[in-house]
Amino acid sequence: MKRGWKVVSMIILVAILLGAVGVGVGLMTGGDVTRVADAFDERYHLWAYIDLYSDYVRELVSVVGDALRAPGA
Amino acid sequence: MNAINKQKFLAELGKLLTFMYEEDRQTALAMYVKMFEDAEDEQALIQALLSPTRQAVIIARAYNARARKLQVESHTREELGEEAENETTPDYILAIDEVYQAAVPARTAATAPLKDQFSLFDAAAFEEEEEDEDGDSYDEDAYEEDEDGESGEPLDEEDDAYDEEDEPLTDEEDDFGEEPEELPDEQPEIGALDDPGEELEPEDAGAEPAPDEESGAPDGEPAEPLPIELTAAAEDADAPADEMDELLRDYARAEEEEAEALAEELILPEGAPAVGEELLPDEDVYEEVYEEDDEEDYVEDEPYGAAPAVSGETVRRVRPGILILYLIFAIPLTLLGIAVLLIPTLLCLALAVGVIAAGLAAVSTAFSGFPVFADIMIVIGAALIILALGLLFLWLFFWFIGGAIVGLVRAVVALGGRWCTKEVPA
Repeated sequence: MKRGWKVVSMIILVAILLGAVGVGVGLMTGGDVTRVADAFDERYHLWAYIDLYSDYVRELVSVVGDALRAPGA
Repeated sequence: MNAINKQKFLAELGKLLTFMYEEDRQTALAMYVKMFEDAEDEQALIQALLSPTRQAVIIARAYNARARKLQVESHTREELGEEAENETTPDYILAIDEVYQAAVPARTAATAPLKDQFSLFDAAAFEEEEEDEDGDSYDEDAYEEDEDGESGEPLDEEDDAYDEEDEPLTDEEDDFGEEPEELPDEQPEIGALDDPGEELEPEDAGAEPAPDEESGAPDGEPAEPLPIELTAAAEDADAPADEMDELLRDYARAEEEEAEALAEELILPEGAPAVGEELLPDEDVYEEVYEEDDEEDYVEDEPYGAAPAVSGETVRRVRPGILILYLIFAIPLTLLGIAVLLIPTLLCLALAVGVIAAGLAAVSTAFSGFPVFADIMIVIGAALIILALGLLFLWLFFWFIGGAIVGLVRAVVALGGRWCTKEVPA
């Protein structure tokens, strides 16, 4: 198990470093994060999903809070 | 009939003593051969010696390879004409002598050397012999001291303990110091298994440097580095005594466990005598049977004080009441623990699947939805980071399954084993 942790952590570190380098190179060569986010939103409707799930979580939290604050609870 | 006899004992011992210098090994083996010759009952002697391994450990404990190397070198200088120095008897010879005194007490008086005979078990005589090889090896003072004041009785002409398979010895051959050139008659039983063709020369033991001509080892070096534990014990002669005792106990324990396992396989009743070599292929079984018979004697005769740990064989016995109580509480608690651990486990699995899917989608999108190279680089970089997180969650899932949950179950079982059983003497 210890060896597994070692191997996995090494792979994760390398992947994160490569990802960071990729993002850095992209930003330095004229990449635009807003443009990328718009492209993803257009393709996968990410903001719609994010809004949907954030509303759901907000509602869940308020319901649980009301139940806990209710008299006799 | 017997699982182990003189030949096997000596052959096994010879193998185990390969960590010694060759002439020391031959000297030690010669002393054991002499011990067998002096013993009235060969089997009783084997029983008293317990096993070749035990004897090897005793010798290893007393054997200081570095000191022996220095002695050997000083001998070499003597041979080159330098001034002779006083030598002390090697510790391992004294150790074997102690074993001899403990194992063959009844015959000690009977086997006292004659006036013109040399005894390998007489330490003082051994010293004298080494100092003056040409002179008469008999030391009357040492002899009397060794025999506790008893006058030397003539040596029995009949060799009771001599094995049938051996070639008959003449009366003079009873003593190594007297007739060393006759020893090779008996040597093949040892040498055939160790170093064929090599003659046993106890008189010359320690008198020559230790070149191992057959193995090609450099002068003064041991013939082989085996066995590792014994070699380590011999090399590290300055180690604390309790470490040595621990080593000895480990050996004895390992022997007992092996013998126990073999006895169970052979379905031998406890204390049953050996019924044949086919049934007792290993000497350890023999040892187990006879150790149980003579456990108390062994405790008294134990030369290195490790008896309680070695002979105190215990078995684990279940305590039913506590076991039932433990099961009543442990099973629900364990199930509860597993259920609690399953929550993060499944959460990790869900996150891993979701994040890895998102990462793969990002990679596929990078090559299909972005015309600008810089944007592609950003997306690929972000996808790698997302995949790394997905891998982390996946690993956490496996860790929870294989480490946490399995570990919990194992811990509960181990705790039950410790609480619900007790060790009792076998």
